[in-house]
Amino acid sequence: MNISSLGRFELASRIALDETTGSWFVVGIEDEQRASLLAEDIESLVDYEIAIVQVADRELLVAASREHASRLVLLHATEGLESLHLDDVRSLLQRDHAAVLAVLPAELAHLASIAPHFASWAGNRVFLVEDDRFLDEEAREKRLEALRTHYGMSDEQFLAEVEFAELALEPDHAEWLVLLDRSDLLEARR
Amino acid sequence: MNRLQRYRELMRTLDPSGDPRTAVQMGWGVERPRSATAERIARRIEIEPWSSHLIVGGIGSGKTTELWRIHHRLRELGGETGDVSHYIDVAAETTLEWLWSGRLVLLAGMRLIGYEERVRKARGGRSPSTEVVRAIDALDEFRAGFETDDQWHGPGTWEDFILDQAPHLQVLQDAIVTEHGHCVVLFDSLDRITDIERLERTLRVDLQVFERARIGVVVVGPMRLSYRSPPTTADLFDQNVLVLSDVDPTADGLDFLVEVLARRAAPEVMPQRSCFDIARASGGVLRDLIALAKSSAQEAYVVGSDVVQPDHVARAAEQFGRVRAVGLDSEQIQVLKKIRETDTLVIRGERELALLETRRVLDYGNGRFVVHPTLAPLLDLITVAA
Repeated sequence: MNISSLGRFELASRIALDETTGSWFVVGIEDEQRASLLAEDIESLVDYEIAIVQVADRELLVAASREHASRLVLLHATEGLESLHLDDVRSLLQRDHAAVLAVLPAELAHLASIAPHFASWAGNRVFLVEDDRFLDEEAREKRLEALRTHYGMSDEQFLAEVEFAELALEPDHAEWLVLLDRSDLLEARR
Repeated sequence: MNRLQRYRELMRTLDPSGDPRTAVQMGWGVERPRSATAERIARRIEIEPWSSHLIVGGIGSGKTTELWRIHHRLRELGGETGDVSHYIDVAAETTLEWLWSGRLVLLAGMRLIGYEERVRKARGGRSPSTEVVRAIDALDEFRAGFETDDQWHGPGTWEDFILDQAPHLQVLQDAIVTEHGHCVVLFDSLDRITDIERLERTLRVDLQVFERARIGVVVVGPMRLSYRSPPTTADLFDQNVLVLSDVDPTADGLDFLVEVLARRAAPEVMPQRSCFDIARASGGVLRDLIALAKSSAQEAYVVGSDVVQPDHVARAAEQFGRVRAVGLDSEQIQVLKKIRETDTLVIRGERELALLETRRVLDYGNGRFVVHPTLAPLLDLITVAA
């Protein structure tokens, strides 16, 4: 039995949806580079730069969470879960914006036993990231259909408006572009 | 408000890691069926403000919320009783790992010093009395005892030194409250302490100080205390122990859980049928209830739905169960399967306690235990690597 895996962008969209809550996500990620890619995907949805901070112990964790309290932040645990004493410092991790705690995938299995109180806080916001997986085809099509209906445009009309810079980009638009595999247009508009 | 904004608003109201004060202030709280915890303790304190109380319960069962409700209730009553309530999140003030005898006394002392100063300012900014100055100096000296790595070299034992603080606390209390009032200190987060022996040693000494100072105390303690045999901690609280059991999601328990959701999410977004499904899947653990509602809404958002449907709840529940399933060993799986069949659990040691602590098993009281509803259907699918 594994933790659910999500495609990177799907996870990013869930995190972005939670941006203005104090939710903690715990994400199994192999390395710093993949953490950066996840941060980039989130950035495309929230429209600001996501800080990535390496945290090796509880003091650094609390300090980083506080320093970036007014924005979503990605905290990369470099020395493992145990070194963070998550239950001990949980009261100091209360936030107004979401935070992502990136750990090695193998560590996710120990979260509940190492820090049951923090694990309860995270609830089911515990995920593995699959680099190249997207929403499954059915979910992707449903989401696209919802976007088309909501904005009253076909994919082609939407792409044309973005290309000719006639549309002020919102988070939904960034998601739409990524679903159509046209994140290049997102880069071009920055 | 567009769709994204609507969902973001919903995310804000369904935040399982949010500050419980928000829930109390927003009126999202609903009285628990059969046990109005806050009300019971507040009423008891109303007639015996110097009494001490212990609240125990599983992780996410709503202990902090109950503590805030007690705080609010006591503040409401304060105008009549003269009592003053102080909430202290111990984990926010000190490292739990370093909690030992005297620390709770020190935290309460520092809080009373600050409050006494505020009271004095409100009364016209008079200078503190000689007695109060002496109490502040004594507590400062007491604090210095915690800030050195040296061993205690005082005239008596360290325990005696802690007990000596009682009159100083009483002086501060008298300076704060009106003639018949008392201070009541609510200590949160002690449920996160894993070293039960150390916690008991701390409580054994510190509660004596509060008793001598005639200060009321409510402590949130770890669930493990309720499974100790003999239950020595209960004696420290004169048997004033309130066990916050999980809410059995059947009958009135189910209605209660659905009402909790209804206060936070409009039926146009989260219809009643989905609320019932979420309530059942939560197993009656309040934090899980909110977390499941939230992730069900996320599932709905991702697939482009404007309404949370039962299949979104089912997906969220499966993900919840998966998180709980990871890390189980084969013996734990056997124990869980047995509980699933019998609804009972014999707590033999660490293995069973760990299942309760990680909320894989829920305790509904009266000897009834169940596997968390999101985990139970997955037990037959789990394979454990050799």
